[in-house]
Amino acid sequence: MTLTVLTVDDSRTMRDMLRLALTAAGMNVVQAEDGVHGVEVLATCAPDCIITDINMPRMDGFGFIEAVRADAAKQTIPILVLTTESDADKKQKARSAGATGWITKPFEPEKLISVVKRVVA
Amino acid sequence: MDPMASIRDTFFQECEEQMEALEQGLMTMEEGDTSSETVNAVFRAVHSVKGGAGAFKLTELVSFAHAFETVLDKIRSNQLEPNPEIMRLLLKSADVLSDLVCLCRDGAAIDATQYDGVLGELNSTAEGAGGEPEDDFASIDFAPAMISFDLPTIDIPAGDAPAFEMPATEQVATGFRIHFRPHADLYRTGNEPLLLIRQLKSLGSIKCTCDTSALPKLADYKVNESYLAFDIELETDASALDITQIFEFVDGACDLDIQPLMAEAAGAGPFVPPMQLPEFDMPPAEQLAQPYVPVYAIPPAAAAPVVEIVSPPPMAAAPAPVPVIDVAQKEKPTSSGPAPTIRVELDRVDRLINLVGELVINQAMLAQRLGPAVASSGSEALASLEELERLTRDLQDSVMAIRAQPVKSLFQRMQRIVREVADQTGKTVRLRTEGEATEVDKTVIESLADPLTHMIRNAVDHGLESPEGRASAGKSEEGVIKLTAAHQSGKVVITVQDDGAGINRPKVLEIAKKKNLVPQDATFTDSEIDNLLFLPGFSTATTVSAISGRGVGMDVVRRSIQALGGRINISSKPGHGSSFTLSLPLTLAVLDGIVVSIAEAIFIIPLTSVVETLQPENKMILDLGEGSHAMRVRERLVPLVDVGQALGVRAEPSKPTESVAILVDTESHSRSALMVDRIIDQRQVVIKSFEHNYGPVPGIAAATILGDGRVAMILDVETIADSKQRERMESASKDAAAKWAKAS
Repeated sequence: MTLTVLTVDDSRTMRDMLRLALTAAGMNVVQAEDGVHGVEVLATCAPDCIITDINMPRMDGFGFIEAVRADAAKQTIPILVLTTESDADKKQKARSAGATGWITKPFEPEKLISVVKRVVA
Repeated sequence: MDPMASIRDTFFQECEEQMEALEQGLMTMEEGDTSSETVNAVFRAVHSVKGGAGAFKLTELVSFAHAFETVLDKIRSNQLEPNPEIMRLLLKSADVLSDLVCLCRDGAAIDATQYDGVLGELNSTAEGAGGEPEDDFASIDFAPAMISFDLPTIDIPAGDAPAFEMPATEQVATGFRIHFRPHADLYRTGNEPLLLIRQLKSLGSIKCTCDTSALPKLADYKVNESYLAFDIELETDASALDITQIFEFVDGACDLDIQPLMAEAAGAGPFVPPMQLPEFDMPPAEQLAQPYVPVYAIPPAAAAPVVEIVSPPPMAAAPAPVPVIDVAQKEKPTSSGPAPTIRVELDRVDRLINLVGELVINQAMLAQRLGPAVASSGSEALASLEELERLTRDLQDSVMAIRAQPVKSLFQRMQRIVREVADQTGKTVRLRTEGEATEVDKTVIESLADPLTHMIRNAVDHGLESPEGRASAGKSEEGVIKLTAAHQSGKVVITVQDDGAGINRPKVLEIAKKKNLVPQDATFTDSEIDNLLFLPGFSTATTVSAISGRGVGMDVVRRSIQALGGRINISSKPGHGSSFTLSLPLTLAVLDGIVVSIAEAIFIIPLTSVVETLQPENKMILDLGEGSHAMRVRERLVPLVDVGQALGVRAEPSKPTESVAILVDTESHSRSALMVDRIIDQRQVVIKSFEHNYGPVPGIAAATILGDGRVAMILDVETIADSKQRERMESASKDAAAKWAKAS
């Protein structure tokens, strides 16, 4: 079955790179431009995995993750945060919000796919 | 196109947008708004650039952006006060970042010494602000995502089993015994023990025991609690690091013990301290070195049967069916988001504009051909024709609007120019902008960058006085330059206004005379003197400064504005400053023109150059000899150009009194009168490149297609007037030349 991944990032570059890597691995990609948009998109689809940036306008990654987890139906969707910040604080904060794991930018496509596969049933 | 190359393009486009956002955010901060929203936006811009740059391995860009971002982060977290000095550093850093982006985009070599100073300042500012010292950036972000794996030094007596990381152990150890008890938090973050166990299995063969002893009675069962634990024996060649990586995401959200599995006694391994994954906040070593307490001593009765995982069992709770979603459909904009946009190649838009141009021409032809017949046959058909015309115009306007962009980006670039020149000249300058939302054709905006830059440099360098000069004139030391844009009757008007000393007219005149740009005995009005600034070769700076004096003067500015079909005007008030006004067409695709005929041929004269039209009378004409004429227009003499002869469409000179004279503005602010046979119409025409379709022809700027299908040339007024002017200068008497010069 084709996996659907929702990517939430305000950077077109990042969205394009994610899409390129994920589609090359045969995954279906749905995109959102920030947290608010991501929540809206989620109302209409149920992705197998979510990859979200942290720094975004309107609603940042932490807020977005909390919003997703607040919905009982979406509590088990794996959420990976994309982060260039390697500091533990950010990762800890993301996990407190409910993130499943993280991907450090810049990512190698193979690494990205392997991380996605690690968290998706 | 290679997808990565296309993403690279996207990245640099986005960088441009980020640089704009950065510049704007910094301006807002400088105006005193240091709210977290503003600082965040600034941070995000730099952060985005860094993120993308990392993907393309643009290391210089990454490390500079990182240093920049670190300082911004300190401001964001209130560890650093954005005082004027810090703001100055931020603005300078934005300039460097913008330069680096350009260099990276063009693949140019980066000279680190160019920005070492700013980078050093950023680093020392960040360090000075306190907080945790930053790790060396290179060592962290490019490493693959992993957690560090520093085993605490544990004092183990020699002879005992050594720590399993050591090579000696690996010969003995055949794998690992793992005790894994997920906390509720593990499930709450969407992690799944099954997946982790499956990953372990991928490293070798495993035996997994599920410890269900903690399971309560059903009545006491809490859905959000975690009750199960797993004991796993993994036979593998993999290292402990591989195992901990599998548990990377759940570190801290579970009890985890990993021990080497010894070949000789799998069940009763020698004493080895439990290895715990480092916590996010690294636990002190002594905590890890505590005596080992087996946490997975499972009462045999409660032990569940050993399960050999052969193939992944089906998930207990099957995931909800996932509809396969068309991505395009998903990207459908939503109401609450920012105004939705699509990106289209410029070529496509231009093709569309061209087609609409053809449609406009075709509609005009149709109206012209059918008009008379329709008018006689009935009003309904006439109404339809009119409706078609209206729709065509609307369509044309809408298509033109696609290419329109706000001048904001252009204006923002000027902030930097002002900053640089102010720094170099030691002046304090504030640039105020107005009407940034005014939209103009993309090409016009692009072509405006250079002339506007030059005008702004001039305004700071020459227009504004030094702080001391301003103080002695009773003005605030901070000079103000106002840059405004507005739509005015189908044109865009851009003004650059300074509150400096105004044009020093006696000095301007003196220089013009010294450089023989004007006759020595000529007298001029104030406005004429101001316009002398546009003469080629004029420069008022007594010393050629590095800023404005680059060999190009206002004449170049004027020429580029005219090339865009625009005009430039100066006004100045001594002691109060000068103001330059540019008026430009909104688009370069259509042009308002006067349709004239010369020897049966139809020509278009751009309306932007036309001052007025006149019917020459005998008493207005002055014969300069050799077929040259001048015309007296309100006590001033202007050269009379026989367009028919200049273009070679007529062999015989035409008689001025039998022609119509069209007074036009030309370069160096002189005026000329163009002689044509008659004026036919005034209308908007669609510009078709002549040079592109045929080749350059002196005197012809472009072509258009008229309603009846005929091709008409659009005159290049500058060239026509200029060639005549040269001829005149050569052949006419000195007396006439002096009169002419006065007229100009």
